[in-house]
Amino acid sequence: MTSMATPAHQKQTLAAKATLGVVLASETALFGTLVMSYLLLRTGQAGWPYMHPSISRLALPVLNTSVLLLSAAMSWQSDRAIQSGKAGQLKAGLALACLLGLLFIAGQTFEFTRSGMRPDDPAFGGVFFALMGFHALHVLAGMVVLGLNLLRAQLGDFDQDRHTAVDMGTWFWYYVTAVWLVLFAVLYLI
Amino acid sequence: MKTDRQPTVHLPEPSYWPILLAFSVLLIATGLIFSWVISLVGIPLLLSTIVGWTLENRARSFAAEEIHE
Repeated sequence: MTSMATPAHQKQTLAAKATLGVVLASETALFGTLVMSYLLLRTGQAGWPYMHPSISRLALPVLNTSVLLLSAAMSWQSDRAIQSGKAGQLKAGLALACLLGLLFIAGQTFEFTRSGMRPDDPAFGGVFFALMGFHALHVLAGMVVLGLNLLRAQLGDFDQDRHTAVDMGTWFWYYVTAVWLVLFAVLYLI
Repeated sequence: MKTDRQPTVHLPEPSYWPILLAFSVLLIATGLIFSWVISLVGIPLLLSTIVGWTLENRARSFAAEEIHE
């Protein structure tokens, strides 16, 4: 393994970026469809059968959002660190981002239990759980990616010139965070 | 037009990890319908296949880069 990025490595990076772009575009179609379904049900003539989230109920979702934003910041920091060749900071950043992701999932699980809805409720509960559940699955998938990058960082795979997997993992984590900000606005603020 | 040096294309080599990964997803989904115990078997299998596949690709990717260099 050499430290300079070779033409073969540059080709791999380009292919990885293109693939991630296609994946994120298809994810956007999925979340877009679910959000539209939710809004249609929420504003439909049948009426929304659950309580609208009040300010007092927003504390946990806001805390959870902050945890995910902090996690994205850690991921950004780790990506910046490896671009400067600081492998130690990369590992610390990835480990912290993973831990914060786990905390977010724990918070979401608690939020599920107090939502007053059930996954097998008629369409209303179903679409809420589909939105939250699909997002939670994406967070779990992102944590697997960050965890794999941490493992590979431990094995010494990344340096200043070779860190495509870290870049891709970071971009996926940004995407998961951005989707949550949209879901937060749609589920709690509208 | 024929050139002296033909471009080479690196394709993934055969691997058992993808089918194992698919099987673990099947176990998780089956467990959601019938019993969570089946899912509990599928989850560690899923994680270990992802790690196994990644480490295999990592080794092959380094080997391929050395050939191309």
